[in-house]
Amino acid sequence: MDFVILSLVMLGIGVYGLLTNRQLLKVFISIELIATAATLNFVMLATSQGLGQAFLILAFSTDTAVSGVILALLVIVSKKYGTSDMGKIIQMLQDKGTSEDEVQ
Amino acid sequence: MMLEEFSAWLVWVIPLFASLFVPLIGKYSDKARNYFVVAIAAVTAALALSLVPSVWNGTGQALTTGSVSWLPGISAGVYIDPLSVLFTCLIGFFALIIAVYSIGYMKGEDGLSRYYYLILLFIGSMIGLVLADNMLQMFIFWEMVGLCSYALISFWYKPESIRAGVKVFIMTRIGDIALLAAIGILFLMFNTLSFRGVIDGIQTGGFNMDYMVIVAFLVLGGAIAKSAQLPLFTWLYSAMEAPTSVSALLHAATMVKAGVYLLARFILIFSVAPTLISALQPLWFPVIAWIGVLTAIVGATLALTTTDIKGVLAYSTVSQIGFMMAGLGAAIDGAASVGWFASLFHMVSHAFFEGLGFLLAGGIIHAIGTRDMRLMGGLRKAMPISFALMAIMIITTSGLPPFAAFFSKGLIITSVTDTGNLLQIILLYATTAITFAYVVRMFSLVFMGKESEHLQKQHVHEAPRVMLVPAFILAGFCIIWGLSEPLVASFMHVNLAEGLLGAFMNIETPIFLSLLIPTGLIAYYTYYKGYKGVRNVAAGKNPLSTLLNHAYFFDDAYNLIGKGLTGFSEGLTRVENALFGRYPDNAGTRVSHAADPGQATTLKRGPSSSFRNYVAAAVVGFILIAVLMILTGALGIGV
Repeated sequence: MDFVILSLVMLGIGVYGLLTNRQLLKVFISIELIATAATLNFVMLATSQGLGQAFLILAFSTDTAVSGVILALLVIVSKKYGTSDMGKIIQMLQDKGTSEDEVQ
Repeated sequence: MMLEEFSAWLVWVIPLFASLFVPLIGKYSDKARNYFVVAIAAVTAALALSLVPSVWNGTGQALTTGSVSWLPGISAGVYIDPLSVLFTCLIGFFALIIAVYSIGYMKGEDGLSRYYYLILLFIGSMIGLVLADNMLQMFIFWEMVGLCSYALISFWYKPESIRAGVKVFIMTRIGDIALLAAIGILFLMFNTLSFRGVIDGIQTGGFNMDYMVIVAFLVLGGAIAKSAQLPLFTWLYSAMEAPTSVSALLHAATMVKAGVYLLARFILIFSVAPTLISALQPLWFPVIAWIGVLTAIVGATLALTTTDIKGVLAYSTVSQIGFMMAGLGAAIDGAASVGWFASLFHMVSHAFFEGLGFLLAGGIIHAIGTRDMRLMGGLRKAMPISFALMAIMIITTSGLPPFAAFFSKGLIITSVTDTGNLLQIILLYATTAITFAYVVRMFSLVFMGKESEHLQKQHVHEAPRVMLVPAFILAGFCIIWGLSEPLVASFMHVNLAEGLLGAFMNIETPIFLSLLIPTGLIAYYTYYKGYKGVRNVAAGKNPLSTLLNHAYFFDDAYNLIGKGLTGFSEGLTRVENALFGRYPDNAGTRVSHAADPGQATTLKRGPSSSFRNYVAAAVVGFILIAVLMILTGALGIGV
């Protein structure tokens, strides 16, 4: 049961981070925490021998690839908008959207 | 036996594999890329058709489940039976239609390599979904079609398209979670993921009845979200931000039918145990039927009020899928019931007439550059061919004999009548009357009357031939599909009690036709004689128009939930700042809060240093957890 508690705690931290942060990077880390908590469950609660561990390898390799892509995107976004604050970026996009509509 | 297995693999592997080459070919020549996609779609359609003879001559059971081991205990395979082949043929056929149509409709757009890549990826995933022989494979493809839908809705990178794409993705995820839970419970019970294994498990009786009922309801939850049923139907209207060709393929003909496929497949699986079917009879089937009936009438009434031409077709789709659900809910004796077949038969005829509607709407939008029906009118002179085809579409949609929906919708109403729920029957008849009203309204607003000022300013032209030919083919199927009912029944290995002529003879037809007369009269007086009564009710401020203009307040309710969550998280942020505000990272937050309330964090220390720290922390965390898991796994320490 220890692992269930650990993954629950990780899930809790991740959700807390998602709720309180608007920095894209922190949001990303929170999401990774949640995903890792899920992977932990996969491994520890696997019923047939070896399958959970096999999934762990699969999950980690895809996770790493996804992280690479997301981090690259984050760099582009923060360079383009000069900030990595979700609220500000959404605000900018919305301002841009309304101004485009006005032109049409 | 070998040949079917071979083409059943190729039919979804080829589009998936070919999708990778689309960007490469697009680098050299746009024209070559377009024809490449058409060729792949044609090959897919041909392979799908090649599955038909063996199923036709078979016994109606699954022919083969050739599978390849992937991970220990998990395999990938194909499951060939009438249900999956029916869907495969429909998807392959529509893939070809849309690939040809896209050449005309998407001409000169930016990012077409991305568009065609996603279309091929979608075709492969959708066929993979219906041909999968195990639930994990089905779920992977189930998610992939959702992803393609999201990416194609946001195709034009406009803020509202992006918002619509995200909304669709999140709303359908609710159902995905339910489906995943159902798969998990089934795996725990039978220790297998394959359909064949589950069927064997149910046949031997080694299952817990209460759990099976829960599984059935979770499956229903997955189908509701994917097929845009109450209460999660609002995403389909938002999905109309997609290019019209995508709406025709994903949001009318194939992807939204995934929920219907899922329910039909699981009813087929549950049917092997009569005790299980009788356990599901008191609650599960009536719930499906009620969801279907209520969605049908809600969708039809909303189609009556929207001014967006694609919105009418979207709500019409919602309403027609409601009919299919009502048919599945009437299948209380399992897959042998008329309702099961009626639902699938209507599924195909709906794909034909709704697809035709979308193709024509695409031509109209292409010609005049707006989706607002109030800016249209009098198009019959400028677009005579679209006018004639749209007439076929509205006759089919409203279910007039002898076109496709007359037989399929009639069969659904017959099957619901057999279950004897009077209120459901009345609501279904009311829906058919409203269906007639909304298609006539759309037709009148777009093609009849005087040309609007918006149209007089521009030169309106008929859609190009490459867009009209697919529409002609679909119109042909609208006419002949209903008459092929006995052939389809023998293909599905279903025994229908009444023949083709029976549809004209039974009691439902006169009731249904007599209902159309008052509706038609109201429409005639409103749109041709200028009678103001209905318009005043629609434009005025009364409970009915408020309810319809807000789409029954479903989206408002979801927004309230969203607002509640945002408020909760903002409160939590404030608590965190109050408690931990002295730490360096959050100090920046506090300073900027003080300077400019409502705006969050500016990074004071420069992005690069904290960036590296965070990544380092994440990597260390990853490594620690990985070491922990591998160690405990190697030492055999279980939970």
